[in-house]
Amino acid sequence: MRRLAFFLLFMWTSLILWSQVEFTASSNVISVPVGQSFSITYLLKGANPETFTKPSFNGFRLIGQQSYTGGGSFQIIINNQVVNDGGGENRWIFSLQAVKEGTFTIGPAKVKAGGQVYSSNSVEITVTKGGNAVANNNSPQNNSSKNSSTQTKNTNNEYAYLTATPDKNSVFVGEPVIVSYRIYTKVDISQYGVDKTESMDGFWIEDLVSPSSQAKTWNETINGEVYLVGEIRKIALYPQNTGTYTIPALDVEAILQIPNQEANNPFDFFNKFFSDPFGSDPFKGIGSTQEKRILSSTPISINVKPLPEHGKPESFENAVGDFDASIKINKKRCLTGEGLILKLTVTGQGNLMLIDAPELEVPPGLKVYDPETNDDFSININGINGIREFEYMLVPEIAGNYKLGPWEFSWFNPQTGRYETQEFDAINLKVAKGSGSGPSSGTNEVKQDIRYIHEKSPSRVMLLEFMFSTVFWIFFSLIWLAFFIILYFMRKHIKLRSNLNEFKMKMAMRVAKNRLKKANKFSKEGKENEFFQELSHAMWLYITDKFTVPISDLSVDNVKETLLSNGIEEDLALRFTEILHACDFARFAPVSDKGNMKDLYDKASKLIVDVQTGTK
Amino acid sequence: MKKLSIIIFALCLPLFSVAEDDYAELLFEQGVTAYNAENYDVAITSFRKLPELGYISADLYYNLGNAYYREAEFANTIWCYEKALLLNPSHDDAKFNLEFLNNELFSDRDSVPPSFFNEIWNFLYTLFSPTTWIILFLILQLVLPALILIFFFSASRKKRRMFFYFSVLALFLYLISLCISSWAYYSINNPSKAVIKNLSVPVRSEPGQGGTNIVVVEQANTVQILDRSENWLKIELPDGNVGWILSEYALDLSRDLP
Repeated sequence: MRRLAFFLLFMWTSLILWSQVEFTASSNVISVPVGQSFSITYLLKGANPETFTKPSFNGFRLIGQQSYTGGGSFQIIINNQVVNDGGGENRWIFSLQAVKEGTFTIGPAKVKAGGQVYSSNSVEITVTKGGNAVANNNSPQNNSSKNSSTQTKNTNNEYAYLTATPDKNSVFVGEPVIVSYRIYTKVDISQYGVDKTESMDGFWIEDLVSPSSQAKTWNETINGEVYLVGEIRKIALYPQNTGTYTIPALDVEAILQIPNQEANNPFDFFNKFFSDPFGSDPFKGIGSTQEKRILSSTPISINVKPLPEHGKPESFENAVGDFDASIKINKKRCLTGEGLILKLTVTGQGNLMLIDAPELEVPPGLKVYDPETNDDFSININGINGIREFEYMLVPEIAGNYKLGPWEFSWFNPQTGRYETQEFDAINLKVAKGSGSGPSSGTNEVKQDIRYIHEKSPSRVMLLEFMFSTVFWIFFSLIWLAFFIILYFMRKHIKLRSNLNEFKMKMAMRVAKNRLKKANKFSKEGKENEFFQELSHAMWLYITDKFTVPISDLSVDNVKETLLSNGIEEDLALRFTEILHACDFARFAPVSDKGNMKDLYDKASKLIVDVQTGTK
Repeated sequence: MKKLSIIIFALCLPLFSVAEDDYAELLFEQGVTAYNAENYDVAITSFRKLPELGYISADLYYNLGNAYYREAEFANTIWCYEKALLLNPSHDDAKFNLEFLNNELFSDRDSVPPSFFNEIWNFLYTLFSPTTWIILFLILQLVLPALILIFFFSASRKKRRMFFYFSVLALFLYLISLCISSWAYYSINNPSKAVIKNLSVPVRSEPGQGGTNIVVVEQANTVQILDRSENWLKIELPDGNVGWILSEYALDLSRDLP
C-alpha cells in the first residue's frame, strides 16, 4: 500500500513536472549478495537544487562517499568518471553495502529546487545469500563489460592495484598472447603514467590500444567492494621462439586522491558549500590528499610451444594465423627483356609482419628479382590483421613458352592446430623475342670469378733481406771505393782525354770563325792593316786551341814543325805557314793589296774546315 | 759412445733445415690439393702454417686469399691480397682478384683519384717485383762504375759519346732501382694498411671515449693507417675521411691474421 502511494506520488510529480524537472533514482544492480557493495544514483535534471534530503537506507550500510555534483561549468570527476556532464545535471551517488538477506526498498530522496520539493522514485534491491550481483541494464552508469579477471588480489586495505591478464598461458610460436593491464581503484586517480612498450626478447610486441586514447572504464565488485576498473593497456605478444618466458611486471606511477576521514560525512561539505559558496575551492572541500603510488602487476609466465612437425608442408615458412593467399601476374604474354610483375597476396589475422617472402622457383631463362613487400595492417582487439603483398619482378631472357609454378603458400592455424596450404594454379607464359635491346641472354653470359691459385711452391729466398744488410753495405761501398781509387790514380791519363779538351777543340773552330768574320768585316771596309792583323791572330789562336800548344812556344819559324809533330798532314802544315807568312808580309808591306785580301781570307777559312774535317 | 752420438747429432743439424724445406713443400702441395678438392678450410690451415715457418711470399698469400674468398671471408681475403701485393706489387693475379672483389663488394665506392706523380710512381713500382728491382740494382751497381770508367778511358770521340750516354742511362736506372728497392724494403717492413674486420665500424674523431662518430666504415674496406696509439688506429678512408677506430676492429697488415 505504501509502495503504491509512493508510486502514485512519483507518477504525479513526473506528470506535472515532466517538462521542467526530472528527479530520478537508479541503482547499478537489481540483486546483490550479502556483503557486496553497489551504488545508487539520484539524478536531477533541469533544476538547481537548494537542499537535498537523503532517504533512509534501511537494510544497507552507507559505505562509500556520498557525492554531490553541482551544476555549472566545472566538471567533477569521481572514481575516474566524469559525473557531471554539465548542462544542469546533478547527481548524488551513494555507495551501499548489503547487510542482510531480503528485498529492500530504498525510499525516495527529496530535493528542493526553485521553491518546490521534488521526490525521486524508490528503488527495490534484492539481497541474496550468495552468488553474483545482477546488473541493472537500465543503469546509466553501468557501462561495464563482463570481467574475466583470472588474477585477483585481496586488496581490502589497498586503494588501487594493477593486474596483468593474458588471454592464454600456452601458445604456439607465432600465435599472439593478448595481455590486458587493468587498474582497480577505489579512489580517484588524477594521473597515471605508463612507460612506452619496451622490447622483450623473443617477442614481437604490438600495442592494441593506442596510449593516447582514453582508457576504457567500468565498475566491478570484488569481495563486496566496488572498484572502478580502467583498462590502461592492451598488448599482443607474438612469440618467435619456443620455451617458457616470463613477461616482466609493468610498473605504473599513479597519483591517488585518498579521501580524508572527516570528509566521510557527506553533509559537512554540502553545508559548507551552501553556506559559503565562494569562500573556498570546492575541490578542496572534497577532502582528499594526493599520494603518489607505484602500482605493479605480477609477472606472467607464458609457455611457447613449437609448431607440430607432423603434417608440416614443404612450403611452410613461418606464417601463423588465419590466412588466405592468392597470386596474380600482370600479363601472360610479353617480350624478352620486358618486366613482369607477380603479386603474392596474404590476407588475414596473424603474424603478418613476420612473414618472409617465399622464394619462387622459376624455370631457367627467367630472372626473378628480390620481391618488394607492401603492407596494409590494422590493429584490432585480437592483434594484427590486414594484407601483406610480395611483388616479384620477373624478366624473361630467352623467348619461349614457360610454365610458372605450380606454387603454394602454407601457414599454421593455431585455432585448428593444423597446417593449411593454398595451392596456386600454374601460370602459362608466352615470351616472344624482343627487339634485342634487353639484357643479354643467359647462355652467353660471362661468369665472373677470381683467378686460379698459383701452384708453384714458393721459394724461401727473399732478396729483400739482403737490402741494407752488412753484406749489402760492404758490397756497395767496396765497389764505389774501387771506382774512386781508379779515378784518382789515373787522373792524368783521364785529364788528357777529358771532356774539357774536347770542348776546347770544339770551341776552336767557333772562335776562329768568329775571328775570320771580324776580319771579313774589316776587308769590306777596306781597313787593310786591321784585316791582316785579325786574320793572323785568328790563325794563331786556332792553332793553340786546337792542338793544345802553348802560344809562347810558337813562332812563325817553328809552327810547321809543331803542326807536323801533332799529326797534321804536311800539306796542311804548309798552308798554315803560307797564310801566316802572307799576313806578316802584308802587314809590313807599303803597297796595298786589295785583291790579295779576299784570296787570303778564302784560303784561311778553307784551311780551318779542312783541318777540322781531317782530325775528325 | 756419448761423444759419437753428439758428433752424429752435430752432423745431422744441417739436415733439419732440409727436412723443414721438404715439410714446407709438402704443406704447400697439401694446400693446393685441398683447394682443388674444394676443402677450403683445410687449404687455409695448410697455407697459414707456412708463414710461421718463415715461408713468406706473395704467391702464398694470394693462394690463401683465394681460399678465404671461397669461404666467403671477405675481410681476410682482402687482407691476403693486400699482403700479396705488398710483397709483390707486380702480382697481376692478386691485382686482378683484389679489383674484382672490390667491385663486387663496393661497386659504388668513390675514392680519391691519385695525383700525376703518384701514378708514375705506382706504374714504376708495380712494373716489377721488388726482387727484380733489387737484382736490377745490384747489376747496375757493377755496371755503372764500369761504364763510367770506360767513358773516361776511351780515346775516340765516338766511343766516348756512346759511353757517356750509356753511363747517364745507367745512372738514371741505378737511382730509380735504388729508390724503389729502398721503398719496397721500407714498406714491406712497415706496412701502413689495414682491412676492416667487423661489420659497420664507427670512425671516431678522437681515440678513446671523447669525440664523436664521424662516419661508419663497412667491413672489408681497406684503410690507410696514419698513426697508431695503444688500442687505436688513426686511419684514412678510401674517400679521404680521417678518424680513429679501435685496432681490434681492423686487420693490420703489419700483424698476422688472427
